[in-house]
Amino acid sequence: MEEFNLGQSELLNVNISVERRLISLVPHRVLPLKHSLALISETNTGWCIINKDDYLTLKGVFYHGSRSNNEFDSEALEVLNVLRHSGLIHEDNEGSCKVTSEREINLEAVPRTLLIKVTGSCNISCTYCYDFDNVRFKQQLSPKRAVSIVDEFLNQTDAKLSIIFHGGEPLIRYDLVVAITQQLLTLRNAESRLTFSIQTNGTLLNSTIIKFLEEYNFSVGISLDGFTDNANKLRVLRDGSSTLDTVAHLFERFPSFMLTRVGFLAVVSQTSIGQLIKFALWLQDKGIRTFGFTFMDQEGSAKKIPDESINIQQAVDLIAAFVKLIENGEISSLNVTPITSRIANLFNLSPQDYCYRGPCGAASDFMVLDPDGSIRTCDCADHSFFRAADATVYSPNILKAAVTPRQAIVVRHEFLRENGKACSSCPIFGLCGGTCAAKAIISTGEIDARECAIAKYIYPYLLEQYEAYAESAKLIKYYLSFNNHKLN
Amino acid sequence: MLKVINISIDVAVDENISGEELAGLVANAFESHPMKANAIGKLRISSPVRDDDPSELREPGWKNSIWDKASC
Repeated sequence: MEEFNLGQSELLNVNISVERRLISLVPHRVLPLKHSLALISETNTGWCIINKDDYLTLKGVFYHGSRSNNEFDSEALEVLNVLRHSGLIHEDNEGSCKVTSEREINLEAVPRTLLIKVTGSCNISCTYCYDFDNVRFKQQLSPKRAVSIVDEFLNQTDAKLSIIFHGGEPLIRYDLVVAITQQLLTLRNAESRLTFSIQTNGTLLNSTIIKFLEEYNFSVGISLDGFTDNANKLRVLRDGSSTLDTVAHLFERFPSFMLTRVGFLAVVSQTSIGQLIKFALWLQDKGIRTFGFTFMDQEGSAKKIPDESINIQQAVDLIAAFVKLIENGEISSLNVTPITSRIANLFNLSPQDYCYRGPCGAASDFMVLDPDGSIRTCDCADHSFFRAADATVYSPNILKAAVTPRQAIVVRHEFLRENGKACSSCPIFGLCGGTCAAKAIISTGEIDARECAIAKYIYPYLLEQYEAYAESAKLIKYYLSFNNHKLN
Repeated sequence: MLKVINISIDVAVDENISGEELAGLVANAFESHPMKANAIGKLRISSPVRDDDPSELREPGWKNSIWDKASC
């Protein structure tokens, strides 16, 4: 901080402080596009497109590192501000405060989402269930445990907390869902701070449950792999009935509920992949607004059916097929979240999707309460990497217990950035973040090769589309139709 | 396409100077050129307006921490 004493008199003593900022270009990587370059930060999802000559000028100016803001005229400062908002400029106000270029993780932060597994039990024995575990399968969550943890979180921050009821099949213990929801709403300011959702196979939904879900403003995710029995044949009901019949019944009896509250989630396997696109179009025709899919991982029961996993090329081809459907307008009103979540990384320096970023949500935003009362930072893999606390750890020590597994996520991210075989020189690392840690553990690699291939397909393609068409690119227009971003 | 720019810089050097040292001297001389920093003002950059500000790169938990000053 430099101080300029403008003058003194008996009546007036004015001191004006001019803040001196040190400005530097953040570590970044360069992806050549058709006509220009994409500069992509390696510490956040910031990027810009710039021609080669202009990039050389930019590099030249910061050749020796940081520059002081008072070296630049107003026109230059304006450009630097654009770069700052693109995540490519780091500012340091000489120790008084700093504008960081890296998403800083508070390892003791209250999560933004708590996934509550009320039961390990399920009325369907899906052959690919990633979550099945002989011990956890039998356990049921104590409402007291859930309430005490949420109470701790609400007391430590004013932020909102998203509660997701999960299982097993959570509606097997509908009584617990009701009890926990109602008890949570008695906590301080809970009504304005808690939002509720539930992930279910839908088979137990009835008018009573639907009335409850509507009354408490739940968002509902229904798991289904296709619109034919064949596509759903890995989803085996214990009584032999069809999951598909159940969904057809729900559309018939509760159309308003289905169209206003329900999104669908499919697991992509060799059994379901063939019909997945038709399934998405079928959902769109029905008026459903949200569709997500996840690739089957060899975790839990799925370890027994490795042949059902889809390979890298199939995964990329599937994503590319959805891209084409969006670009030719066949998919327009259905939000295909594996596409839009990745596009969202281009528009947010702190990506909103916990899975498609690094460090992922397990480093601070996400937490899982298991039926036995223990805490994990991610539920995609039952692995010590994510275990935070057992049921004997009580408030106010839950967040402290989560520091170690959260730190592991951050360390993995830093390792990949600096030394990862596939990541240390990959131009799109900032946008991709190094793939999902859980999937990497399951596939026993530094990274998940399938997710890596998808990132290497979609991000360069998106940047080329932006280079060519900017806000008119069809994929970006599609994304913007679900979001309220504004473009330059 | 490469653009060729002629810049005249006077650098007094010993005839035995190494290539690396010379490169450093030239870079320093170029660095001190008064117009150089403001060349940034002419750059054409294409980038979307983002929903979040760089200051939001800090997690909410950083509020009230020693790093979080009102002046930020």
